[in-house]
Amino acid sequence: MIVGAALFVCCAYAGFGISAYYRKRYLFFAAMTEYIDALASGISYAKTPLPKLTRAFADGKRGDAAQLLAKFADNAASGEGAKCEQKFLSAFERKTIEEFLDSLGRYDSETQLAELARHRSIIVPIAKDCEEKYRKTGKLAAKLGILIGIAVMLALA
Amino acid sequence: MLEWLDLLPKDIAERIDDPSSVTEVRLRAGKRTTISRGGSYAAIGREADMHDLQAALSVATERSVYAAETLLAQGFLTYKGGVRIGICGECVYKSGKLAAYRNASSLCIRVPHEVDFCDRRLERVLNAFENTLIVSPPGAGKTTLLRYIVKRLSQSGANVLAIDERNEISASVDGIPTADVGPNTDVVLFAAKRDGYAEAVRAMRPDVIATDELFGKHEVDCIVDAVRCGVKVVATVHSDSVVKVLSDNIYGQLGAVTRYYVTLRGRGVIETVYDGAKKNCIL
Repeated sequence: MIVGAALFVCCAYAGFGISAYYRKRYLFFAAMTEYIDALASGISYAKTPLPKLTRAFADGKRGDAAQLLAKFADNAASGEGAKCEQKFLSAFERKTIEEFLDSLGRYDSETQLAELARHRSIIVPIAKDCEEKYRKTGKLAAKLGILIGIAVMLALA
Repeated sequence: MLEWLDLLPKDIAERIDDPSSVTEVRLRAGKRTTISRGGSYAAIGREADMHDLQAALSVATERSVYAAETLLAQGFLTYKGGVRIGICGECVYKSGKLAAYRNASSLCIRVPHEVDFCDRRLERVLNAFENTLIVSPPGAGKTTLLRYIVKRLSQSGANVLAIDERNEISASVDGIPTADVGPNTDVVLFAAKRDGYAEAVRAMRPDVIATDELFGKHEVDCIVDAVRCGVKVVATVHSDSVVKVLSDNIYGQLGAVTRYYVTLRGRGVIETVYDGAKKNCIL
């Protein structure tokens, strides 16, 4: 009985772990897409400086994207960038995000908006893919984890 | 007031002795950095590279080039404490207008200093103030003297309107002057002179308008127009002699409205004060 319960917990944990991984990716890219849109608006109209714009976006938000952007805002004031070290991203995705952040604040508004559009065209498909995978695989993994756990527990009972 | 050191690479900034006395730093890609303390230039540290210049611009704009593009199109940026950064590089034109400089190859970082001009001749000008033109070559302290006159006139109760096109007079940060420009001074920041005169004269009803570095016919016309409105003006112009200014086709118009001409010999040192009405130098 105890072994069955322990295996149930393990399976459910694994299922939720997989689900959390997909959720993190989905939320991260959703926030980055939102950030790009906020930048486009802030740069076009108010011409708000990048650190202020980024801080305003990240303030009060939780999650990995907000953390990364808050760090980026702190470094941006001194002219530096931020390293993307999120482990749930692939090497290509980390490079994409770093290149995107590196492109910010270096151009006149027209060129900057064109750069934003270019990076948006790369990031939005990743965000959509992450959303789809989270909705299908992520949620399924959580359910499967519980179901397999129950099945294992019943089989051992 | 040493924030400007953040603009320099750390290893170069660390080699500057007594940074508070520095008046100018020149960063040139592929050349050694030079500094001036109001006189000749001395080389310090290693050769700067394009990356150093880019980093300085990034710090100066808080990594927001798009937010500073209006100033960049005029070839300069301002930084905390009224520091002005002149930029040289490749000009980028859009729709036939200079839009920006890219690949900056030289930066001229000018650090403002407040100086008390203890000069009997200047006191006479200030005590019975009339339209005044400060004339000197670049780097002799025109803006420093202008700021001093603004402060003194303001302290004497006159409402002074500083049209601070490059934020050099008031050294404002977030719209608040950090330089002492006196208690009765209003500052119009980053406005082209034509806008500053037209709007601010109507809105602020100044007794005196102060403006830096007149350049071209339009700005001279603005001065003449302001005087016609009954406002007194103190302005600066680049030249090495009053005669050259007055014999110039464009700037010569100023002769009709200016009473005093002040020339500078060096930073903080007044050379002559000429009274245009009496046609003699004040002794």
